[in-house]
Amino acid sequence: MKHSQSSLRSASRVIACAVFTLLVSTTAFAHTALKEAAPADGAIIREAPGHINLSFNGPVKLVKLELMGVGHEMPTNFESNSEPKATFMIETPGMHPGAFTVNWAVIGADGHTVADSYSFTVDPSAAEDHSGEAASHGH
Amino acid sequence: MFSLPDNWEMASLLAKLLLYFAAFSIAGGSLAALRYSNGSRATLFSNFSTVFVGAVVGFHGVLLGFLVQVGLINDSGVGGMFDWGMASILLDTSLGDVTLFRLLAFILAGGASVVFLKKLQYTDGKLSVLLARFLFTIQFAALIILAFSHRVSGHVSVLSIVAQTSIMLHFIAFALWIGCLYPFLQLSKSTSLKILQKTLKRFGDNAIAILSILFLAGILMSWELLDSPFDLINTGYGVVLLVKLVLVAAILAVAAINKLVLVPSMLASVSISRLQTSIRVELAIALAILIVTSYLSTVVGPASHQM
Repeated sequence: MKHSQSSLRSASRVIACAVFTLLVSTTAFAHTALKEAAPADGAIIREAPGHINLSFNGPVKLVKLELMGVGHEMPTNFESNSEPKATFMIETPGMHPGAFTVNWAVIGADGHTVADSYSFTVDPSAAEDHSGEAASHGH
Repeated sequence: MFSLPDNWEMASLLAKLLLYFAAFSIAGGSLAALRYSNGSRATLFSNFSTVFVGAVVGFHGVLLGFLVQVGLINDSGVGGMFDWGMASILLDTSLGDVTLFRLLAFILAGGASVVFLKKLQYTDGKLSVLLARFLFTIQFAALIILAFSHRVSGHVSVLSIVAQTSIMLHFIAFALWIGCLYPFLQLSKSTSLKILQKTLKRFGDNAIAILSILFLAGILMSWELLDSPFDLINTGYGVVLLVKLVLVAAILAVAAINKLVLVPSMLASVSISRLQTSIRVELAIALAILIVTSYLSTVVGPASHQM
């Protein structure tokens, strides 16, 4: 019985040490996230952009980029076999006034898939450019 | 702080659970056959059947996990999972590497278990030592490949070599420990009290080493995964990690009761019944731990992972 109590005490100490060690851990690292997009999410711009810029917080492989107009896909020079990098500039020839949605997906350095979309509007009649949000959220 | 998983995340979570179930079946079935068997043909058949079922489930779980990622990217319903163009793009990423590693592991484990099962069926359970060693080596190699795949992909894959090694050891240790529970449950139904007690005592002694590795590796990983101590209460990831720690403490308590009270006092069938109940409780807690772990690695990320 004494042996049992001693073993239980030892087990309690191990658990206490584990919790304590967790409490003093201090290291951090970053996960895949879209830091910045231009045009940004919700932006209203007067001039049709010649390209889209996507900036991530680390090297990622961009595996999907669709620029959707209302009911149709716009042409881009996106190629899915690009090397991992943090910044992408996708040419968007032939853009016109209207609402657009950018659907994108990346594979991060940790192998996790992050896919999301954001929208912006090209409106030549807008009083002034509205920059929108700096970056969109993924999942 | 928390978000409910969407459909794709639920499917990813299911695929992850199938992977864990499969890995643990392979680890437990193999280790039980090697070290904790009564040597009877029926027991060995049960052990290798566990490995085989694990390999089949794992193979399909890995395929499901990969197709779910294809579907998540296409975001066009179930049909989007079968876009071979996108699948071939993903095969060229670390996700593809992990998928191929894991499929290879399950093919190896499944193949070795089939040879074992055939030999048991046609040779009255008598295997040459050399062949048995070869097949066991393949099965444990499959487990190591599965563990290695966590170095290639996942939150820990971008951390230091210490954290990457830790997750491998953590995975293997937990798989060996929890994987043996089901074989023990089966053994308790078919073997004599004396042999069962002796076998469980041997496992209990070995488990001390396994648990030490499990804890040390878990601590080293958590050290790097958390930004600060306050993450444990301030972030979704930390809170879920705390839930996991509570569950681990609970399963350790049940394991301690098994080792220190139930196994030494096993003298009659009523004791076996208690032991079986206790193992079932352990299995239930282990399932909860796996669900929490899958949630941690699929739905939420460490603090600086939040977007």
